[in-house]
Amino acid sequence: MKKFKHTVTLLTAAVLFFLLPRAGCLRAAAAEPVTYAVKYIEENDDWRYLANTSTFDENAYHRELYYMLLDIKDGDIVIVYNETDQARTLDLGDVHLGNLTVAPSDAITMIFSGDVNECHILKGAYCTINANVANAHVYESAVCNFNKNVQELRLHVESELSTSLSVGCEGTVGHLYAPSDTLPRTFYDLYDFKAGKMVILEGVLMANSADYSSAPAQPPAPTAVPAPSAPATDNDEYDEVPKTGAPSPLLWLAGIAVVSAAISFRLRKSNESFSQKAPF
Amino acid sequence: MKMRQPKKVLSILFACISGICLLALGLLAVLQQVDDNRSMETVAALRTSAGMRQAVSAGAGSGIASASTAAPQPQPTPEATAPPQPAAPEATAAPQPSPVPIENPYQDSFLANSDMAAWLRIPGTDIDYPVMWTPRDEEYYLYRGFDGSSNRNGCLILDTDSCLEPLTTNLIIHGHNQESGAMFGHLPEYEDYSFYEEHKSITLYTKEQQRNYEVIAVFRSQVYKKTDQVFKYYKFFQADTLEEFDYFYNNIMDMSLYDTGVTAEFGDHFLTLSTCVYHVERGRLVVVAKETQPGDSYLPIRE
Repeated sequence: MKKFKHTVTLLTAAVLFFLLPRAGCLRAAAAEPVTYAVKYIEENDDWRYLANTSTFDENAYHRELYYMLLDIKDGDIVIVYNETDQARTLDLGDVHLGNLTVAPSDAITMIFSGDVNECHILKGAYCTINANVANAHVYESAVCNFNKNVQELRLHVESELSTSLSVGCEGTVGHLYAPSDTLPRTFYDLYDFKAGKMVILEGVLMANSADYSSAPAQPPAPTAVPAPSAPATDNDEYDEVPKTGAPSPLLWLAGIAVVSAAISFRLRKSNESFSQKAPF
Repeated sequence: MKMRQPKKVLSILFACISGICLLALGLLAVLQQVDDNRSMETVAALRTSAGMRQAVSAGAGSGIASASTAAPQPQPTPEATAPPQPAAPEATAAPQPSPVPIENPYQDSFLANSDMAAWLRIPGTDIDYPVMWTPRDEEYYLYRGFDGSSNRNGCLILDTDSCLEPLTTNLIIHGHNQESGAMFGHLPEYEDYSFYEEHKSITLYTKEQQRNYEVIAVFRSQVYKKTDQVFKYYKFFQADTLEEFDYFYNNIMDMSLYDTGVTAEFGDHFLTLSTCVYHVERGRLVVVAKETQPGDSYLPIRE
């Protein structure tokens, strides 16, 4: 009876052990990023917003920016519209935006926010961005100034750099990359601009060659205790050039065939001599 | 007895391996021959077509051009204002480009595959192939024939950072160094000065015109690591400044295996032919040629 009780207890414990964690497990998921369309409405003399849309429909019910700032969270997406003819300032607080897009405007829009992952300055936009930006995309004929640092600045150019494209950065720029979208040509591919030196005025880079590097900076040499075997890093990567060697497995096959035949012959010989020597 | 059996088994095993290798060797050799033949047939057909068109053009003289009424014809320089001409050139002189656009001899090839950017020819060698340009995937034709089917010889490929229209300062063409001599299999022969002396000129037939080049430098190089701060010939496509031009020009002249006596200046255009060699890992043999006098200009290609 005691043994039976012991068995039942063990089985119950096992069942609980498997079931309870599943029943009680917490299901947590990060909230999806929300897209906000923000526009300066002259009638209200204020910035208004619509949530969960990338276009701003003035006929829809839009709310004061104050409420958006209560809800906005890191990773959210903001699209800014300013169709007025006066300079406007948009302060988004310290939120870390996943994406900030600035639509075309006639007057300058000054945007303040926390760090920005992806920043798109569309064709015809006119703005300043007061935030550190990881990846900035500036399209033709935009006029834009980044007042903090930009890690990767990509200019989207069709066939020629537009004379109406002007971009500046008060901070540092890690990499300026301006390939043509239609031709196999790269206008700029430069690295490590010093603070305030990256200025493209009407499509022309105004920086001196001493203010940037034409190749990425080599990462600093490791100062820690050297690892027994260094894993492959970017330093080990080779330039991408078509491999034009003639792959020839024929030589290898021929080599293997000859060696195998030689070994086989030798083994057979030694086997024969062994059988001749051993009478039993 | 115990020793005899494993030896016998091993002997049979190695004999089998040897046999399988020989069988695979034969099979691969046959497949490669089939591949070679197929690509040669395609290229030969295109060459024949171009040859026939060239023959017709030569026979008809400017008749073909004048027969075409669609394209506007540039007016030749009025004879009255021309400076006194030297004596008529001898029959052996290099053919002069036609003063008016003529039909493109490689029209059929351009029409057959829109990925074809040009036709490369080095007179006196087997290098007489289409050059493919696929910005969407640079290596698309590295192991594909002109018709797009799998082929170990591949095609010559124009580097996607090179551009014919508008023309970049440097056009880089990559090709396989095949043991059979196909593609750029004979390019390493440029390391021999006497070979260079006999094959100084290179011709590139584009859609618009015939571009003539003269070899200026031949050197060995290699593919470097991304972080290596060295001269990388395969990174030079456009020289917008004298400084950029001189960087490339001075480096190729310094690296050249011999002095060709040919010089270049800012504004000149280059054609760079590159293939694998094995003096180092990822080695390359590079032949750089400078564009000389333009050849014939061509009428627009029409179906």
